[in-house]
This record gives sequence, C-alpha cells and structure tokens, in this order.
Amino acid sequence: MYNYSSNDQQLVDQRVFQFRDQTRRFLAGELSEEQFRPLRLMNGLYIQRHAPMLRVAIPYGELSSRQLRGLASIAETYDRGFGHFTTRQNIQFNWLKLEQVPDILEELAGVQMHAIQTSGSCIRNITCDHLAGIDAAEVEDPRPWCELVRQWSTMHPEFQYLPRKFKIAFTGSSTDRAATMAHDIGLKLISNSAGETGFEVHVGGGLGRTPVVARKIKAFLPKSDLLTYLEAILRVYNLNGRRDNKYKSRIKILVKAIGLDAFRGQVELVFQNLNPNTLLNENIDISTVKSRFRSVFPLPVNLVSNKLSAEKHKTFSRWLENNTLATKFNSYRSVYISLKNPDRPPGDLTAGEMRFIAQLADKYSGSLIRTTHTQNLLLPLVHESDLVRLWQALTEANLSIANIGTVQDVICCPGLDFCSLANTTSIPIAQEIQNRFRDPDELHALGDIQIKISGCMNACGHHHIGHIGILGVDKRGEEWFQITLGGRADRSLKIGERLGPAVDRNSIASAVESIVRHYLRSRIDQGEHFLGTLNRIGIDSFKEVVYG
Amino acid sequence: MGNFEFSENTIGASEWFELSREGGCDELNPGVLVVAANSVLEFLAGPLNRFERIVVTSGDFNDGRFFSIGRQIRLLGYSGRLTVVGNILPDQYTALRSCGFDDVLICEDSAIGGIVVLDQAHALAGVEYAVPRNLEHFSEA
Repeated sequence: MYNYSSNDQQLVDQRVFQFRDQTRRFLAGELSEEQFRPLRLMNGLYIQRHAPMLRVAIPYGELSSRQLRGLASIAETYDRGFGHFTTRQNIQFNWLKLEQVPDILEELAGVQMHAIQTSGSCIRNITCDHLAGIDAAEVEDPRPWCELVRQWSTMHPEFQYLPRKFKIAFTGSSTDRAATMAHDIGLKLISNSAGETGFEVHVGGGLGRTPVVARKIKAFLPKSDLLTYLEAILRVYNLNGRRDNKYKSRIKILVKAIGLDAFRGQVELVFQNLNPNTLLNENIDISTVKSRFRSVFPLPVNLVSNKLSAEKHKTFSRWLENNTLATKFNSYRSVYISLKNPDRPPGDLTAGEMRFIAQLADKYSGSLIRTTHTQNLLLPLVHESDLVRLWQALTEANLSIANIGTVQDVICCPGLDFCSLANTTSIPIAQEIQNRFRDPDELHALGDIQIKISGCMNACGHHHIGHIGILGVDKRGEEWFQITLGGRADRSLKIGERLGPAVDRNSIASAVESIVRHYLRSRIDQGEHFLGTLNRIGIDSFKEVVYG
Repeated sequence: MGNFEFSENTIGASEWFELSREGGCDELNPGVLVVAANSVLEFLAGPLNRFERIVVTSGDFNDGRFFSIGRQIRLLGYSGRLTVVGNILPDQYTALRSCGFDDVLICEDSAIGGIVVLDQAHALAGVEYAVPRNLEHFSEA
C-alpha cells in the first residue's frame, strides 16, 4: 500500500481548494456550464439522472481500512448510505449535492484519496491486476509502476484536455485479470531472452460502440523508458486524435485510421526527440515510489483455528475452494468478498458493510482491501488459521456467498436506474439471472461463466467480452436485449459474436438460462469450459435453444 | 483565431516551413512566428530561435492541442517568448506555464484585450493554484 508523501498530500489538498473555488464561481454564474463542465469532469463529477454522481479513484484498486471507513462516512453523510464499485476498480456515489462536493473532496483528501481524473477527457485512474504482488506466477509486482504513472499522469499539464478519455491498465502476470487488451494502453511486465524485465506495450484497445482489441506497438520497452514512451504516445494522440466527433475520438480510431505501423512511426519520432535530461530519472524515482509502499508483514495471525460442525463444514469448504486463492506467501490466502449476492445490485456496498469489512481487514489482512475489475472486494493476505473465523464473521454479515467466478458473478453497469446515457435497466436483469441459479451445488457445477451486462452501447458493463454478453437497446421506447456469446476478457481477449435478434425484457433471463442449461447438457464433462463447448458445438446450436 | 497582427514581421507556420525547406529563411528577419494549434509537427522546423516570439493560436479552451504544440516547441530548443492566444481559462494558466508558455494574450472580439504574463498567473486568477508535481520534470528551456 502506497503512503502519500507531503507532495502528494499538498497536491490533493490544493486541488480541493481549487475545486471549491471553481464550484463557487459556477454557482455564482461566473463560469458557464460549458466552462465548468470539463473542470467538474476532471474531478469525477457527472450530472446524472437523479443527482450529481461522484466517482472516487481507487488507484490500482488498493484501499486501506482507514480509507474504506472514509468512504463509509461519505456514503452515510452525503449519500444514501451506500456506494457502488465499478469495473475500473473505483467507487461511485450517486446521490450527492453539487454544493457539498468540495466538502466530500476534503474528506477524501483526509484519507489520502481524491476524485481527480476519474472522468473527463484525460488520463483516468490507473488499473491493475488485483492479485498484483501476491500471485506466484507474476513476473514483477506492477503496483510501483502503476503508482509512478499515477503520479506522472495526475494533473499532467499537457494531457488534461485530450480528444477523449484515456485508460491505462497494468498486469505483471501472464493471466490478464485487468482486461489490459481492452484499454487505450495495456502494459504487461515481461521478461526478455536476456532475463531483463520490461513492458510489452499494447495500444488502441477499447469497448464502447466500436470494440477493438489492443495491438502490440512495442514488444519490449525497457522500464526506464516507460514515462518517455507514454509521453510520446499521448502527444501523438493529443495532436492527431479526432475532435470533431466524440464517437471517433478515442485512440483506437486514430490507430485504425492511420494504421499501426504509421502510428508507431510517429510515436518513435516523438520518442527520439525527447531529451532524456528533461525527464525524471526513473531509476531514482521508482525506488522512491517503492520505498513508500508499506510492507504488509508482519500480518496478524491467530494460530488457534475454530472448529466447525460437519454441516457447516461443507459450506465452508465450498467457500474456501471458490472464494479464496493460494498466494505466493506460504500459509496465506487471498479472500474474495463477493458483492454479487442476488439480493443486492452488483457492486453495491452499504456504509455499515464498509465499516465491517474495514474491521475484518484490520483483524485479518494487515488493514488492506482491494477492489477487483469484476466489482468484488479482496482481502489480499489472510493466514490459513484465520480462515474459519473470517468466514464465520462474513457469514453473519451475509457476505460469504461462494459465487466468485460463477454465473452469479455478473458484471453490470448502473443502467437506467442511475445513468442518464442508458437505454435500458441492467441491475434488475442481473438480479433476475442470478436468481435463476440459486442452488449452490448447481452454481458450483456450472463453473466459470462470465456474464456481462451493459445498458447501452457505451459498454460500461463490458458486454462485448463476456462469455455471455448482454446489451440493452431501446426499440420504440421498449427495453430489448442483444445477446453475444464467446467473448473473453483474458489475455486472449475476444469480442463476442451476436447470437441473433434482440429479445424482449420478459424473455432475457429465460434466454440466458436456456443458454447456460444447454451448455450443461452439451458439455463432454465438467472439465469442458463454456467457451470450449461453444467452440465445439457452434453458436447455431445455442441459437436453436433461444429462438428455435 | 489566427489573424492576429503583431507587427509587420509576422509569418505563419506553413509559410515558414516552406521557406526553411527551400533554405530561403536565411535572409528573412521575422519577429513573430504564428503557429495554429492544428499545425502538423513538421511545420516546427528550421532555426526557430531567430524568432523573438512564437504565438500559438488555440481554438477552444477545451481543445488541448496547444499544450502539446507549446511543449514540442520547447523540446526543439526554442528559448524566446512563447505565447498562446485564444479562448483560455485562468484555470489553465499553471499548466500552460508548465508546458513552456510565457504569456497569454487575452482576446476580445478578435482584438487583443491584454496580456497575462504567466508568472503572475496565480494572482490574476485569484486562486492559489495547485502546482502539478510534474512541473519538476519539465524543463523551462
């Protein structure tokens, strides 16, 4: 966990001061709506369906228990007692008053948090594999590099008014858990044949109305060149990205329009022009960044484990198998807390639950919590002897549902319930689908099936890359849903294929249920993944069960 | 934007590019180079330091190309006065300074209504603006 330096703190404090003044000028009529718009967006403030929505940055998904309590306090004091975790590891508050936002930002600054660049046409929150630093298969922990890029991009003087938003994601592992290939820039730490680590750089990925898989622009970038190379990419984009049509202004469109080779050529030209003396010396600075990461050890350990009855033991075992993971630290496991109970909107957490999880983190995981790209939480390192106690505590709070990575673990945008861009609802669809698969045995037997739902083609729910993707469309004022199959968000990122015509509001949950049950009937054995069966029997076979 | 007349010694970026390519800029004694924010980077060629001032004409304040143009001009070693003219918000002064600009020409109805020297930006904006930490990474040329 990174601890702010006095410079970091000064920056967020001054930003609060600045935004207070900007809000005052807007409310006093000194700034027009057009002028205030980019300024508020740079601070994560949207005008939504019901009220202003504030998106708070959780850099690369890492939170301390103190910060989670800070978020709880904001949810309770200024919102309706809950927050919503997003696919980019951030949290959103949906029911705020504009005039209170400066006070909220001040509270956030008090716990080393901010909402800077969580929206608007600038470099957004840096996201990362949620198992960074604990995955045994990792090449290198990407978090210090995420932090370096966070500092570099925060209020970067040149890149605050880009053609459009810009998202950067990191992974240090060969398993891509951060959907890096669906980002404007995806950075993977790799080893080359000489045994050096560096970055494989991908550019031009993105979802939205034109889904594009990112392409490799650099096979191996030395780590010391990271910021220089990012600067070169961003400059070429800032100068050449389209500004006449917001649907064509992402970097993916520029790369497609001029071609990857031509784009790479322009980036190299700018890159070679950059005088290294004017840039920070990464070798020094990365070690400063690394030195500000607090070690999680020693973690609290209680070596006496609680005993369980045989009946409870079965539920515990399933939770252990499904919601926890071995880490590279012997005897320590990562514990997921699923926010996908069918009784709650996916990704939502109440203030009381935030405080409760903060308390558990203090007790069992060195006061650390992570947010995942899949809208769940993770206690990164818990000693094996504490797992029963932790499970019991989570169970009492109704937070131990063992559905991580199952068909219930639906990724979902806020949809028409909150978002002013949405065509359809998505939260109720997610809940209806979840309710079709309530039997824990069946859920377990189905294995890993990722369902992703977006209420409009902006694709905040990543429907393109769900094994089963659902897109809400408006047809003459009615809600209809398009289904795609075969998308995937991992290292072999793939855009799903349209199954057929959209289905209506009353049929969507049944259609998804039919698809899942058809897979269950058709698979060779439990070892054949949904995508394997789909590949083997073909999409037409699924068309039959939905439209036949 | 782009029609500002500073003196008779003003030249546009594309004209300058052609002249410098043909080697015809040696006899020229220009005072001000005017660069539109939508110029291609190739226009920024030749001995830029012969200009007392380079003026970047921005479009809308929200069109951030002028920041990159300014930064690129400094990276090419230009050490004279660097000016931006256009619809600029005071909230952008600090970032402009960091990208190498010295001053902002305020325009009113296509006429120059005043000049803000960016050293005084804080006082003029009436707010203590945050100094981006990246400032330290930018050379002031």
